[in-house]
Formats: sequence, structure tokens, C-alpha cells
Amino acid sequence: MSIAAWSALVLALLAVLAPLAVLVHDHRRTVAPSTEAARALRHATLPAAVATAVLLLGVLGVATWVTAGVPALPVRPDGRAVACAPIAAALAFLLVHAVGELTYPRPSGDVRTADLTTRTVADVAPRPLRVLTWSWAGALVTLLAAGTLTATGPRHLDRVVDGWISRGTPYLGSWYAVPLTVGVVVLLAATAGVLHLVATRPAVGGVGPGWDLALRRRTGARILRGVQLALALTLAGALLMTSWTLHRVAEPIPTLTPATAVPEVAVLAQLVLVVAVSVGVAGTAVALRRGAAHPRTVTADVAAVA
Amino acid sequence: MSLRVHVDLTSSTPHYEQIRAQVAALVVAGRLVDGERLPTVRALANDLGIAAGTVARAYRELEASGLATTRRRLGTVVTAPAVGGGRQDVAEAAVRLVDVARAAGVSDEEVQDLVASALLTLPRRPATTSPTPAR
Repeated sequence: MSIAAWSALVLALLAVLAPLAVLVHDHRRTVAPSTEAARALRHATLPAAVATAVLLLGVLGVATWVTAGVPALPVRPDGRAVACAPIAAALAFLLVHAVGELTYPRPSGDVRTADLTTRTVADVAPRPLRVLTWSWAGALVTLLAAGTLTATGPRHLDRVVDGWISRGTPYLGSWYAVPLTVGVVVLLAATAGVLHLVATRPAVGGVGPGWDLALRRRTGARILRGVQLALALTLAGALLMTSWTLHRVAEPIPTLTPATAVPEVAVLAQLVLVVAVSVGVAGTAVALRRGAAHPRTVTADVAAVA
Repeated sequence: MSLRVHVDLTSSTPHYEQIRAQVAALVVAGRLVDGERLPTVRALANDLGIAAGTVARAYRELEASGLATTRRRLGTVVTAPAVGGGRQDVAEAAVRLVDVARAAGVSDEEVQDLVASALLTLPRRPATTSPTPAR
């Protein structure tokens, strides 16, 4: 295996082990006031750890495949598979979370108790993360629509000068836009479905409503952080591809004079590149951010109960 | 302070009736106010670890007695009975009855039996209707 492949493998291992370590730490620092609470906390942490590993393995696995190749898979994946990889990984991430929610510990005992409180998706999903997720999705769909409208083919952008064609490819034409748009819609619907499962899962016994809601909000935040990461990476990749293609199109046509260059488009390509990097960094930073507010709420609630 | 319902799985009272009675008591006592949303059928069933159909039946019974109504997009909401008139007097008499019973050491079950007995033995009077204003 080449040095590049080894580097990618080490990076992938680090990317999987780091969130697992954070999740284990997260699990240990929260006070569980009852055995039922401890069981619920354990059940909330385990699927989150597995789901995070699945998400990162999906994203980094494809990245490794593209950049370094995999000996067992000599053929590189096509562009659509790479473009859809983060969304596919996010769907697998949601599937693991859904299994976790559907197998959540159910109440036991002869006498059951429940609070007459309503819980909606808005209660369990922090608003800033919901807004961010919808923003990434909206920006991505808008970019895909703009790409489809301006493309001169399914996946290329042509510039014709004096009968000569300068072709920029790959470009966000319908070749990429259709599966990605379908993927975004499915991902948002799946996210809403899993958040609904979080809102309606059985309440934790032996704790106050605040403790239970804090645990739900922690799960909701984890789900949204993963989904927004997938959308941000897809958006960043789409912007990166657009920047690359615009840069190619802006270059002078080799057989003609240097005056055939389009500096305005070159500047636009640079701007798109800056936005792509910013989106990627922002999405990653939000995904790595720890939800500090929720454990404090949990601890405060536990203290109040005690 | 949160309002809670309890379901005793070993009780001979059907589960849906236990839920209905407790929610009805909270509504009549004014703890659940008019327009307040009740949890969704699935959420309450999950919290209690019972079948969703049981909670759905409890909600249907509440709707039939005019204590709740299901609205599109809002779910099931409380429709508290109008306060005042004869109903207010009955509510105050019920409070006095419970107060006297507890002071005398009578258990809650005995109080319920006494009220049931009174309902059975006393003849029902014809309901007084208020005159309808002429148009």
C-alpha cells in the first residue's frame, strides 16, 4: 500500500476513534440518578457512537477510495457515487439512530407513570442546528438548480469562441443534480422521522421531566450535527467542483489568443472556492462541537431532584 | 409542577378507564385548562408502556364526555366545562364532601362508593332548562 493510502487509513482511524472517545467521556460525565436513567443513558450513547463511526467511515472511506484507491477495488467510483456518498453515509447514520430509538428501554413494573406533557420535534431538536441543517439543504438545492439551468450538457459547461469550444467538466448538470436533490429530500424526511422517534420514545423513569428532555435534546443535537455535516460536505464538494470547472472555462482557449480568457469568471471561481472551504470548515466545526449546554441542564435537574 | 397519570396494570379497572378518569379529574379540578394540549396517543402509550389503542380509547371517551376534542394539526386538546351556575355549586359540594370524609377518616374508595350509592338511590330530577331568547 502506498504512503497516501496509509495516511488515509490513519486519518480514518483517528476520525473514528476521536468521536468515540468524546462519546465515552460524554457518557461518563453525566450523573444518572437512577438505574433506569443509567440504562437509558447507556442506550442513548451506544447507538450514537456506532452511528458516528458509520457516518465517518462512509465519508472517509469514499474519500480514501477516490484519492488513494483501494487494492481490492481497482476501479475508481464514478462522480455521482462520490457526490452522493456523504448523503448515503448520513442515511446509514440515521438508520442506526432509528434502530436505537426503536429499541429504547420500555417501562416495566405493575404501576406505570407518565407526565401529561406534549413533546414535539421542536422540543428535542435545538433550533440553531435545525436552522443550519435547513440552510445547508436550501443552499445545496439552489446551487444544483443553478447548475442545471446554466449547464450546456448533463455534466459539462461549454464556452464557444469563434467556433472553438472550451469545455469545463465535471459540472453540476442534471447528471449530478437529480440524484443529489432526491438524496437531500430523502435525508431531510428521514431526519424528521428519526427526530419524531426521539420525541415519542418512552420517558426515562425515576428522573424529572427536565432530565429526560435534556437527554432527548442531546440525542436530537447529535442527529442534527451529523446530518448537517453530510449536507455541508456535499455542498462544499459541489462548490469545489463548480469552482474548478469555472476556473477551467475561464482559461484562454489554447488554440486562440490569450485574450480569450475571462478574468471575471476566474474571480468568480476563486470566490466560489473560498465559500466551499468556508462551508466545509463550518460544517466540520459544528459537527465536532460538544453540546455543553445539555449536560449542565441534566446535572442541574439531577441536583434539583436530589 | 408536571401533571402525571398512573396506570396500575394489576387493577381490575380497565387501563383506558384509569387514564380517562385521571385526565377527567384534572380537567374538572382546573389543573388542565381549556385549550391545553394532551400528549399524542403514541407518546403517552410509549411513556406508559401500553398499547396505543388503549390511550386512543381513553381519548375517545374523553371526547364523548366533552372534556377533550381532537383538532387537525393541534392534536387532542382539553375542552374544560363552563364554570358557574349549578356545576360550580356541585364542584364546591364535592370539595366539602372530600374534606369532611378525610377529616372523618373515610377512605377514598369508601367516598367513591358513597357517591355511587347516592347516585343510585336518589331519584333523578328533571333538568331545568333556561328559556331560549326569542329571535
